[in-house]
Amino acid sequence: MSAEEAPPTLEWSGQAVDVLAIDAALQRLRQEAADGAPAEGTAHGTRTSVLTLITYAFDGATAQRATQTIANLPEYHPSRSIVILAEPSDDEPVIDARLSAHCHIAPGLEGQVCFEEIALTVKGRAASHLHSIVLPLLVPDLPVFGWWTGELPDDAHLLDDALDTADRLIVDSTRFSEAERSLARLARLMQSRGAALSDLGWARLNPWRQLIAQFFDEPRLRPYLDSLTALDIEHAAGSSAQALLLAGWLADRLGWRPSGKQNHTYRARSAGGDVVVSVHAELAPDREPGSLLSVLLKASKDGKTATFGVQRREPQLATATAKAPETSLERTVRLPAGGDPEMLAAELQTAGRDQAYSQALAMAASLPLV
Amino acid sequence: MDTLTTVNPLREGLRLERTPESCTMVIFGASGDLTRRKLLPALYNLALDGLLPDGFAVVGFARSEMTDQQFRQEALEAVREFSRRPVDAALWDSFARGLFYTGAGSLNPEDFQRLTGLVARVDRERNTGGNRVFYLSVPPSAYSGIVQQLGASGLATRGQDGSGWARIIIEKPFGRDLESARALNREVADVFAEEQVYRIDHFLGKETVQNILVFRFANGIFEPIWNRRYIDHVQITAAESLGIEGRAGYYEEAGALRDMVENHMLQVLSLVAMEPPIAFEPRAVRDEKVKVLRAIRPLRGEDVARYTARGQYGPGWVDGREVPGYRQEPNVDPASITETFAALNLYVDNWRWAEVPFYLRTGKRLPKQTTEVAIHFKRAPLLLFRDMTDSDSLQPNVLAIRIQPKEGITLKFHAKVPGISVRIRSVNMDFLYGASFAVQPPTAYETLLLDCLLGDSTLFARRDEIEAAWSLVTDILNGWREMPPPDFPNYEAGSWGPREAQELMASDGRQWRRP
Repeated sequence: MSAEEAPPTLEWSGQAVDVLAIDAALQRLRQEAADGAPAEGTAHGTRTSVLTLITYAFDGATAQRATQTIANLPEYHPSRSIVILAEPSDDEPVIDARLSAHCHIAPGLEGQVCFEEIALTVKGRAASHLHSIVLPLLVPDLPVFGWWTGELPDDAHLLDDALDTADRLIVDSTRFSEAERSLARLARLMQSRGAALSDLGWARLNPWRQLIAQFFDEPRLRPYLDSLTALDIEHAAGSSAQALLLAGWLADRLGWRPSGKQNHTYRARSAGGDVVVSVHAELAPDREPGSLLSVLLKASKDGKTATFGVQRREPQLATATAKAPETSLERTVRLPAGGDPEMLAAELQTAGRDQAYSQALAMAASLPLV
Repeated sequence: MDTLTTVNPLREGLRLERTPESCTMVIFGASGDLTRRKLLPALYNLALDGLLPDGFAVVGFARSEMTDQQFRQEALEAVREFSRRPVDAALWDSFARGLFYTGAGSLNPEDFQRLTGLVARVDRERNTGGNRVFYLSVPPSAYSGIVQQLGASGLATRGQDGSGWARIIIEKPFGRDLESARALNREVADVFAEEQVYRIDHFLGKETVQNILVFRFANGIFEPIWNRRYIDHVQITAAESLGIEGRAGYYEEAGALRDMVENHMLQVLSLVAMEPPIAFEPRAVRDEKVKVLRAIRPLRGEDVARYTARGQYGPGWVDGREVPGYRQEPNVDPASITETFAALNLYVDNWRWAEVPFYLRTGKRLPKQTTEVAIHFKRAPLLLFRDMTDSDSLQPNVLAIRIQPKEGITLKFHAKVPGISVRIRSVNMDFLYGASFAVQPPTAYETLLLDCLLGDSTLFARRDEIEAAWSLVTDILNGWREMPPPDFPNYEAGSWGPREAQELMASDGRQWRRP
């Protein structure tokens, strides 16, 4: 789309405003955006809405990064995005708002995608009661996704507020400091509140899980799952959350019972014997912190040994290798882009609870406990 | 633990798609246009999405002599030109290692022996477990010979050690009338069981066609009114602005009825009219579809003249360009009576649809490229606003499902024009896929190839569906043959078809919708 064709973005901003004023401004912008940029073949003022996304940030830099991420979502754009920069204090409440409405033609697709972005800075006591500001601004009757951009807060009330508002709250465990402790807290939250949580860190494991599962689609190799002896995971330094979740997933799916821990080595017992799980952090400045670098499964059955490995060669390229007496295979596969925009977009496409995640999380949390 | 070995425990809860078992796809006609434009790009895109199994291999089989290396190079060029996503060098190398080729001088037993040897070697080297898919991307005249040879060579049955499965994908046209379709079905059935046969109609791989089922059966509000009580009639249009694009040899033999109606349009009709299946699985869905095809009232004798119209385009203007008439196209008989337009008025004789007309039309060189299904509802029972509005402007409600382009759904209803007096206007409420899900969908071939590799035949035509469709179409062809030769050309390129098509509806007091 050339610059001339790009419909203008309509904007409004106000300082120290109330929610009613924001809502009124929103209605007006929405109308103007639809009138101003009718795509060929579509009626004036029509649109299709899919969901609302609320982003929670607690410092300016994170809020800005989140706004950027949302602007770069590759697909499935939220119909309304509300980015809240919350600065809780005991002061009087102040809300500053900035609204913008866009309609654009998505490249390669027909029809225009319309959406509104609301950036709110909420200060003072109101920052602890965000639902009172957000609820009136939601698109009626459509799914609400919350995106918690930072650490798990010490103030449980803030997180409760977000969990109450959103149908599903998206966190990123890779960004938590102290992975073991945070995963345990997340697991408790899921268990005690029955919270619908999803985790961008878990989403980044999707291609890895797919590749590992693929090895054992081959019926002749499947018996090795029973007799795994070692699981080695290497990850880029910064967070071990993804590595632990992957170990938790395998342990849960294969019915392992945690049996001990020494530094970054975890032991578990499986039907076929003991499994040693090693998690190593590697300095890899050119990789996303905490992202997986390689996974190696070793198995030994009836005197036969086999290895199954996935190795990241480039940010988006991996080699999957199976070596067993029955068959040896090596192939190169593409790892989908694992940036925040791609991962967030993938999460927005999925409604409902991810059972595999809650089980993997519970297991990841219990691995270090023994 | 036995449970571990019967199912893959790591699969459960994986959000990503299932990947098929490892297998070899043998493409007959590997140097042809379809392979270049559709099959190889679709396979490459599936690989790009990680949806192909480890060890997946393609064995190309065609008349020309080529080495594996040359075939890989040709494949690379094809994918570069036609893939919806660019080629990734490292991934391509991995994909290309699974591409093989063997030349077939004249499809004789020796050629098949060589093919069998190559497939066995690929089986061993790439651990495909004896699983094979045969893709017939060749002219229909070659189907029967290939199928027989597949049977004779043992390729059709099992892998080398008796394990594995074999499937065959057959491209349209599947026969040219009822008799030839039956003969072909019999020949295929001599070698393959029906569960092994995948008759491909790329139309069914399109997102919006599948969405007809979702729209009807995932929503609670449409099905109660989806019947003769509320629906006045249904129009299905498949219009092309293109001419025959150099395919005179094929089109002269086929014509619009064989080219579009027998397959695409009757498939769409059966999805629109079918009863809810008991499950979304191949047998249940196809059972319901074939019931619709069987319930369509046959057109014989005088009914053919009364309920059908055909046409052929003369010279005219399309998209601002002057275009020749059909008879002036290269390699077309200057006195050809091949129809380039067909319109039908069909009735589905069952409880749901009794006396509801289904109007189908398709043609080449129409004003625009569009495929849609329009459900026209009955008028409101009492016109309360008769005095306050021009009653002609009160059009009935229409629900239009656009299949291509601008895939989406539009509902036309009435609204009051703002003001003191009551004036009523029709408005359109539009749902556009592109505006809701900014996702580039897979191509129809990606969807269908993956389905076949996974052994899911829901979106493929079954033997009885093909025969039911041909039965209807053959009656019409016979009826036309018995009528005096048509006065062609009878519509101008760039118009909405011949006068006869308008009359077909006008006699019922209805008119074609302008898509």
